[in-house]
Amino acid sequence: MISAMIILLGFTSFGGANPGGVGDGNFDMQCGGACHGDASQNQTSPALLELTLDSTAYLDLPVSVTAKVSGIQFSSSDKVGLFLITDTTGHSDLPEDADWMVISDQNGGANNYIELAGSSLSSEYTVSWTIKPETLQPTNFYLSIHHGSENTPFFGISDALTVNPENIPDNLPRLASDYSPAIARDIGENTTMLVETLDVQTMTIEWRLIDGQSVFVNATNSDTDQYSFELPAALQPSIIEWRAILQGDGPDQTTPWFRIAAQEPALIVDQLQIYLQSLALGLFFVGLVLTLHNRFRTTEQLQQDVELDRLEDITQPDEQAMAPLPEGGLPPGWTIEQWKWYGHEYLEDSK
Amino acid sequence: MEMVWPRILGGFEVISSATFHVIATELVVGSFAMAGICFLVKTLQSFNFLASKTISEVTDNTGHFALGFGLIATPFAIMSGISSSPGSDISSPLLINKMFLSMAATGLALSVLYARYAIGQRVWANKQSSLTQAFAGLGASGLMLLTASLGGKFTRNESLFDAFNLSFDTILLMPVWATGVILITGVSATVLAVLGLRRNSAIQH
Repeated sequence: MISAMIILLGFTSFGGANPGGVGDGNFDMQCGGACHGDASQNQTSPALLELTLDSTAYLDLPVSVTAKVSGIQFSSSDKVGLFLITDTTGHSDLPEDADWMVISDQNGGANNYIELAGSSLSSEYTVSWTIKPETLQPTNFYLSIHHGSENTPFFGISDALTVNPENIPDNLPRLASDYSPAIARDIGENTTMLVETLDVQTMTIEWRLIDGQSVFVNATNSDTDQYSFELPAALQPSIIEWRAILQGDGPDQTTPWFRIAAQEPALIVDQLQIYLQSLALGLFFVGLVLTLHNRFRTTEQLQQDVELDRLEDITQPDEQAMAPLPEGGLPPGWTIEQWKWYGHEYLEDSK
Repeated sequence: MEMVWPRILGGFEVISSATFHVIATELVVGSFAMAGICFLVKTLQSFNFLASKTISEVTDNTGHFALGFGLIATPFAIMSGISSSPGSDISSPLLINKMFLSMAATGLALSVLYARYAIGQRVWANKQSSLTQAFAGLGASGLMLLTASLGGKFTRNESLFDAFNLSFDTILLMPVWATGVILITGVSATVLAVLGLRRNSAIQH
């Protein structure tokens, strides 16, 4: 047993990092110790971290922040975890804690923490988040990085990027403040994207696959302050980036890049069926094991009965050994049972 | 994140379901691992290895106690696991397989404990009964550890069982009628076996 444990330990890394990552999500900077097993083991990352705001931030309008990471080299299988946070205390530091909403992230989700696959061929990574202020309070944003290397967990954090949201100027062509674009769709289906706007007269859409060439289409004005455009079906899991160029009486505006991820259709199963099958499996195994026990117990009981019969037989007198009956049959007053046991003595006395 | 026990202590949110799930699964895994070691020893003893009365008694008592303790913690682990999963329902093949495996392990553990209760130490009296008990205990432990391993696969995309290249991306979902047949078979077999064991037990006494 001890040998087995030692062998298993030999296959583990002794660092505190989880090489497989923890998956994208909304996490505080220390992520409850989940990203790095023990924060006290963290070493300072050599990465250079830079966070920039792509345009002016207006209240209730989306804006992009771009993060640049450089100066680290990975083996091909390493993961890089990047956090967009608003505090350095390690807790209550999500953008939503500072009244900012994450609308989309680099991986097609809406999380403040994303993971990228590290590459031995690249030492520079650029990612962006699209976020929306719901407050006019100045907010400090930080980029934090978690990664591993040489079985050691590394941690780093950028300087603060201070963002001062402004009130929206009059007649500014813009997205509706409550507009939230779709960020996911199923593979194989054409998608009609709806865009809700204010003070917009014409809209042009630029879309592209990640790192692909841009395609420009004119959005159709389908209703008052509502435009729509089509995205082609995806044949495999992929992410399309799109942004809108808005024209109206005010100065032209370009929205941040939004992302929509094409993914396998979600598994749709009847929950009740799952629970029933689970229950059936459990009861089946209960019945199976107890039935086996019952059978072996019955067999054991039968064996015991046979053994008891055998012991009783041993105590019975042997039929062969019974004394021969006299010519006139049993003597008067004798039973056959008595003759079996005492017949020999009777014959001896009669001689 | 969904919270459990939000009203305890005057409305403070005490603990998240994800954290509670970690606590419950650690209890389950630790207990079942201990039970697994004991039933492994009992299996060896069924083949006349490690034949020692002391070891036999210790593994018998410890194995069943650990299995019982793990079994008590299992429903908490399952419920908190469901509530802490994204969407708070079973929406991924991994989670569905976890549900199937954990319930199968629960069934095996229940049967092992009931058999030990009904038959007593005579459950180890003959080789067939002894092997049934030991293999059922080992199966319960193995399936529960596999379930825990899938949890690691779900959250961290890695697990101890990756080396075996097991695929849990597909699920064996039976039609409702087949589930019904298995359910009825299981219930009938359980009832008959329990009655039989009770009768045998009465004869014995």
